[in-house]
Amino acid sequence: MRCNNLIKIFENDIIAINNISFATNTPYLGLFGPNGSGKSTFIKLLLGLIFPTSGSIELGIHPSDIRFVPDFPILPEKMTVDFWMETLENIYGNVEKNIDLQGIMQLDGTWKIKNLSAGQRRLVALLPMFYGRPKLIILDEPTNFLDMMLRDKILRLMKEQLLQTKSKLLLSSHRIDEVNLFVDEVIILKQGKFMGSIPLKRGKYQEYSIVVDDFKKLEAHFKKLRISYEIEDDVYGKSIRFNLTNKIWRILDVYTKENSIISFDAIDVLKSRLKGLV
Amino acid sequence: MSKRKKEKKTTPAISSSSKIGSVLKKIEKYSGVNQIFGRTRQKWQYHRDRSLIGLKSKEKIAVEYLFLGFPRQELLILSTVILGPIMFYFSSTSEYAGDNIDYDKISDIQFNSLENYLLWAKIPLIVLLSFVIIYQWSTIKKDGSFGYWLSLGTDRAYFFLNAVAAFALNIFLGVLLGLLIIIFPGGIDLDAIQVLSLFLLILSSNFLLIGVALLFAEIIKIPEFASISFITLIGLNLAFNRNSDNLLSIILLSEFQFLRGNILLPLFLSFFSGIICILIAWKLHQRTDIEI
Repeated sequence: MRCNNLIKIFENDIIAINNISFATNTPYLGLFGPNGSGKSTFIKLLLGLIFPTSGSIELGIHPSDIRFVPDFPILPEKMTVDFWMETLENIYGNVEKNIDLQGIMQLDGTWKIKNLSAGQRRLVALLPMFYGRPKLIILDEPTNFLDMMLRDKILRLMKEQLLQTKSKLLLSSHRIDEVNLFVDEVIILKQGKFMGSIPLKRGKYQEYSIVVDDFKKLEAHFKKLRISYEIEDDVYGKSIRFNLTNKIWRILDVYTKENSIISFDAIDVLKSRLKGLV
Repeated sequence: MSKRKKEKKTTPAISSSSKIGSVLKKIEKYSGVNQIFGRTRQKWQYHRDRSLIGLKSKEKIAVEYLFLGFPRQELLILSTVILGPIMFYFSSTSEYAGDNIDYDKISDIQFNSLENYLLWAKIPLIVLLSFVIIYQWSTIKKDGSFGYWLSLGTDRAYFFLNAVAAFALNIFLGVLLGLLIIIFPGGIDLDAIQVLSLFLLILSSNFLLIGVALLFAEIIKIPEFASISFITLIGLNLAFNRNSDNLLSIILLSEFQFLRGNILLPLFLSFFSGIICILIAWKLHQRTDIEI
């Protein structure tokens, strides 16, 4: 994918994409940014649904080899689930994996799409990515409206599908765990601007955070042992953020014996670097 | 699983047996234009093979879903078949042709009846086109339904081509059935050449209507306004310009020129105007932002 001075200004003078330039050949790419950062506009430009005001964007994959799951798709409301699945089979060929999609997604074939709930509609929207062998799958908030149990099932299915079809992926999501699960590199957008890209090493954490009963005592411990740290104050209270060193185990030992650790979490690369970018 | 295996076996057999395909291969081999024509040929073969083995392409399914869902297709075909001949019968009056057989008078009566048919086949068509093509075309670009089909990999060019072909074929079928009704049960006495020229004039006129409708849908962004503008322009022209011999009448109402014995000029003018309108509409369509 290559962008050169990409700008998109809508008719009401809203600058949706503001001079983005980058090139990447990462097979599993993430798109991250707050609401209104231009993620969906960027995907529309990529697919040629809308045209740039200036600059260019190249993908190098024919549109018929792409499956795009939009965040709010206008599904074929009048069709039943069965008919829609037959249509997809007609268009793309069979489901690559030998699985019962309908059973896993708990969709009755006789239901009309217009009568489905938000979660069920999301499942129907995800269906095209499982048919045939796409070269690129673009997902925009793929697990919106799904309950926890179903979300796990779908994420597993998506992972298996990517492995089986060897499709490339462009994932736009607000969920850091999903981005971490699928993606090798994340592009950060904010107010239509390219803020940077973060290469991710999946499963390798660099920073951790700890919350204990007595915050002042914990901070004194860090100072005493001369461990560099940062204080974070969020909705859950104050926590200390640090890199893992040998000295940390002495602190952890003390608070474990006191049974006063409230939480001890790993902070992944994306989360730690996002703070400076978004 | 077995269905897919069958498709894979069938496809290459059809491709290799095609004469056009082999000619294209030779052109590529000897002229070195593989890079230019390769992709086009692949796409063309893909669409042709799918239609030959009975599978519909995404574009065809999208056109059928977005434009020809019940009852739009039925109305598009049957409106001219039903309303045209009905008005032809109701508007026909018995006139005393005289004691002797006056062929000129009989011919005049028949031509008046024919004019009634042409008029009443055209009016519902204008109303239907303003809804089925203009309103729907403008709406689907805005409400995200066309965008969704594009997101499924639908090719814009093939979609446009399929849509024009579908509109034309459905309307032509209606015209053909309507003509058969007025000629055989209706008793209009026309020889084969006259029937053919009338048929061609109606087709070229309707082709132009499709082109103008697409142009309106592409130029005017508000669906309702686009529909009303089309009905107003074509309707006013039909009301006030039907019996004129000016250029606008010759182009837009070419089928009525048949009654004046003028065939070739209106036929070519309306057909090529239709082609030009469709090409301009396609160029505009290529540059249009589609919502999703």
